[in-house]
Amino acid sequence: MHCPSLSLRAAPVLLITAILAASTALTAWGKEHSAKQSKANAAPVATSLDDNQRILHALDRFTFGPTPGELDQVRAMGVDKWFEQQLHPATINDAVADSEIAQFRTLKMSSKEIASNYPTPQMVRQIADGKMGMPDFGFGADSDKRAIYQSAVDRYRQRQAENQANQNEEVAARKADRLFPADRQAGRAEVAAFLAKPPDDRYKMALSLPDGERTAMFKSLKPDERQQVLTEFTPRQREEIIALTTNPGSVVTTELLQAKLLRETYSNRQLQEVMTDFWLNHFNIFINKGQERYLLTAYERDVIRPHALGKFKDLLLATAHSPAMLFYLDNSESMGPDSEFAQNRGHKPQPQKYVRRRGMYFPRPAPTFRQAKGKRKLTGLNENYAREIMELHTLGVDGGYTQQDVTSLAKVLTGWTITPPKTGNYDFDFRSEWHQPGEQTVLGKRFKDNGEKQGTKALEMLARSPATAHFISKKLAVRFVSDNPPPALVDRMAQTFLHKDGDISQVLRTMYKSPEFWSKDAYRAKVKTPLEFVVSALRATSADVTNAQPLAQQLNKMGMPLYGVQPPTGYPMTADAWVNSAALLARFNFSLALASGKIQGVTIDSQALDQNISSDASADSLATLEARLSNGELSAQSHAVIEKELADPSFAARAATAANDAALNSHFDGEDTGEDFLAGGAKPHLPRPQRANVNLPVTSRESLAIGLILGSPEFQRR
Amino acid sequence: MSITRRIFLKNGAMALVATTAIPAFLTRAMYGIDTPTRFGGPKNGKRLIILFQRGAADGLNIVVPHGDPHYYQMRSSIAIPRPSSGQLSAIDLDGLFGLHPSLAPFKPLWERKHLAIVHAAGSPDTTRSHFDAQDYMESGTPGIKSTQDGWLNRALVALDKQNKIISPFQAVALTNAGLPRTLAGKVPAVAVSNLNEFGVGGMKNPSAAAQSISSTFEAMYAGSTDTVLHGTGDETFEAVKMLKDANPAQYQPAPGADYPRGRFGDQLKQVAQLMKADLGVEVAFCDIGGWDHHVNEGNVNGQLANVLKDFSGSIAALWIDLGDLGENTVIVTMSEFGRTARQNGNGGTDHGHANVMFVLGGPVKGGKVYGTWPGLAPEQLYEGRDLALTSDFRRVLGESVYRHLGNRDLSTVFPGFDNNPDKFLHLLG
Repeated sequence: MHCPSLSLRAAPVLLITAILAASTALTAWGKEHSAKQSKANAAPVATSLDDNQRILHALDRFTFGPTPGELDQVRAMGVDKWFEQQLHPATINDAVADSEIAQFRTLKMSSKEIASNYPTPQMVRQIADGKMGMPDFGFGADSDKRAIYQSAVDRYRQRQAENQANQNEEVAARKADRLFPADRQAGRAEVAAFLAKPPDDRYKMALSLPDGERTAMFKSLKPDERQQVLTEFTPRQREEIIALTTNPGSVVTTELLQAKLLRETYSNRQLQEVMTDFWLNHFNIFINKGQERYLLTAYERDVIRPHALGKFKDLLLATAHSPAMLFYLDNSESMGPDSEFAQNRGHKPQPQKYVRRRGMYFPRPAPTFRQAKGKRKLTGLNENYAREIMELHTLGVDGGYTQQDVTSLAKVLTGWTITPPKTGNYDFDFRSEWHQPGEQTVLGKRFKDNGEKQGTKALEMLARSPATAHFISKKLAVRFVSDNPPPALVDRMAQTFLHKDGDISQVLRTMYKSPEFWSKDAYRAKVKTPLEFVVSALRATSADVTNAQPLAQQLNKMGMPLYGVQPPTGYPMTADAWVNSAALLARFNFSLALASGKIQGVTIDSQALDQNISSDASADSLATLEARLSNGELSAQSHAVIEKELADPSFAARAATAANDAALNSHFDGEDTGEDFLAGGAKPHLPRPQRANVNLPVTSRESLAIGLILGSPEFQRR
Repeated sequence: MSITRRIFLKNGAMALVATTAIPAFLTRAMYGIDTPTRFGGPKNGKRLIILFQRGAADGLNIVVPHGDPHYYQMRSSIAIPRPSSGQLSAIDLDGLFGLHPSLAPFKPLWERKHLAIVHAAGSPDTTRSHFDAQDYMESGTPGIKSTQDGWLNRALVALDKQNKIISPFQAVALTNAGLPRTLAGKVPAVAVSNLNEFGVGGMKNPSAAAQSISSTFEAMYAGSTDTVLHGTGDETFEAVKMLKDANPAQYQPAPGADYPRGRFGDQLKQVAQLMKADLGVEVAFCDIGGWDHHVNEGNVNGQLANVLKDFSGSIAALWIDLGDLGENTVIVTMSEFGRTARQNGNGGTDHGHANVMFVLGGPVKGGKVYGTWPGLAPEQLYEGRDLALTSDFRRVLGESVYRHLGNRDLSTVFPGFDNNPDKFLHLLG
């Protein structure tokens, strides 16, 4: 189980500091106002924000939201110094986040190792069909791996058998009957017995079952039961059970998504994580396309994060060499029409055909090839990646390129592919025999054919283009400043981009030093995206996350699945995309669920947060909670509404009624412990049933107040 | 249609007596005229549903020009075989065109003349970027990026003046990705991904306490000076109250309305729910992805065939589910551009130009392929590679807005486009 021993989530010293800081925050506020920027770290330019606002603004923009006490830490350090430190993540100790991630084995594996440990559906099929042998597992070293393979192959064979049986309608009908209700109830009894055991015994029991029964057992669990069982396993146990009972690839996915959320919540290198998220969105990849789920771990770890604050050129080239990108945008399939490979297939090159238009003859584009039996498929030119590089990755859609430029760049990039699937390596591979020979002209500049280097040169040219400088600068300004950033600011950032060879840190520094960044217009101007909202809520409440998978599911509900954007555009970063009724309701429900411990695998440190909120909810203690969660940004109006709700004398009676209303949380992913999020008023200090190591009481007023603050209009902004 | 309406307005009382002589849907329509609907929706009950196929659907393999010899020359492995008995092949419509076999659920709609097709339709803009092309079609202003709102929202702006009571469900989008561009603008629009989660504490039997918390959030947002969040808060809580009264958790689709499992089927089912619950829905928007087949598109089977099964099965189920309401409903499908006339080297197709649109509904003069067929001979292709465009998508949408929704101000809905009613395709009766 998770051991709460470090920093944000647990460091006792920090928590005490935080509590003290919070209770003095309001008085500190007044002092700061009167002090009027007497501090040494006064603004380098004229600004209308006061010092506290400046610190909060910096934290709002360069982190996933302030943690309790973080304002004071930054004040003590000086906000300029803090920002500089954030620009140099290597100088920041990040042992906490590292220890969080350490539980996930796949995060350290190469794509090849991942695919070998968690066989792809294709591999499973080939083994089951006898086209490929079981891998050599060695002596005893990794019995898990053998079990995973065996179990996956067995499940595949069973599915095949079922599919065949289903072709017989009668059998299908009987099967449908079997799923309901009689047999199912019998199954429920077994499930109840299983759930009654302590976690370790559940694990042993699960392992002792034959493959088929184990899978059936987990399938018959309700979603919240399944999530509960998994949460209570150790990470290692969880990993193995997921691998044994579902598609082995889902281990890879869940670890990838969870690690992203955990880093964003716990890393001290916040700006690096913000920028990693920014670039993952900019160089978007969709996890559900083919085998992307096996490639994304390395993509985030080796391609994006190391370059997140480096040079744009390096980032672009790294993505262009990544199997994940080459596969996502189809460049791995693109072959030059006149390449050596195309020429040597034994087919004569097609005679040049012409299209007659307006009395003139034009060469006919894109000749097609026939497939040769049993050998690597001969494919043609694929323009997809070349187009998206110019439209989305570098120049922007108004960047002044033509269809001819797209075709030329596509030819330049032929041969940039992935090592053949049979090697199982998932590495970049330049295949010169696929490369379109000859010089190409892109944006008026000629690139001589020197193989892979032709592509490198063209990409470097694109990375240095003024259009790229402007496009990237504007996108950064939309993320960090406002939905409609001032053009003068964007121009200034673009100038730095051009003069500093696309150095992203320098561009951010220019933005930081600009008066527009610190203007009143920019303050609290951004509405949080669902991801920013969820992570900021976890940070504000010092949440203890033992299983982040349910959080990833919450993001699905809010319309922002991680790695889940199909088109290469990524997610929009402007408010209009995220402010709508359904999304707002999802935020309210998340806020209440989080505050009352209804999100599986997440506990908020109620003791630290709720210390001063007693059942008589005095205005002072509510103010303290507000200060801690929203750093004093909650409006007087919101404060009054919450205060009124907490002070309502009929509240206790209504809460007691609601305690029996189990349907209330039916749609939460959380377990139903019988402890309704409103029930605490009637039953204070109730220890949570069915959960180890959780002994912090949550009373109704505390969780309600927290839920309302997190759902307030002010908390939706940063 | 306007003549029919006038007749019923005049003869309302008489028609009421003679209900048995009139089809049920007409009496229903008449009630709609005489009695304002429960939530103050449009009195004439006209509804428009827009379905967007995101990713550029391959119109040439959806409504197959099997009578055009060039079609088979350009699609050696992905062509849909000519209509014939026995094997999977195109379902003939009129000797020139046929439906992809996965569109079999559309055949009865075609035969009963509810379904019309407009081929070689789309946006005249030359972009082959998904993002730009979708943006242009949703804003209704090809080539102009600065347009802030969507055409369907503008279509309602003018209507606002005519109908004073506006339902918060007047404009709804059933999508997972928030409010689509098509519905962005001045008129409040609701985006929902799942009706059952539309409420604080869920829609299923929310307790008194949850309702109290809901009111607390409502008060916070109502009092907020944050204009963006204040406005959305207002819309949200009004919609929650109305939906709660309509009790969506109890919904049962009409017999025979078998929605395929999946996101698109779920969306359409919820559109039917909202409309049948009489929540004042005037326009609805849904989208379906998975059309961008650069590689291994397939022919009668394969990737495209699978998406089309979902597409046609869901739409056919919606039509059955709407029942009588279908008589006052028009459903239009669109996609950002078509795909190359020739298949590429990967057994797929690349980004092209013109496409096909379906128009389904009671007022539709169906059973006909509208528009001019430009042909697929090499010299007939746009830029030597794509199906040429003969019907601007704004012509089709404009007719729906003008004749069906009754908004005559097309110069506001589609600024800069000459949408004179004389130029309509006349596919609505």
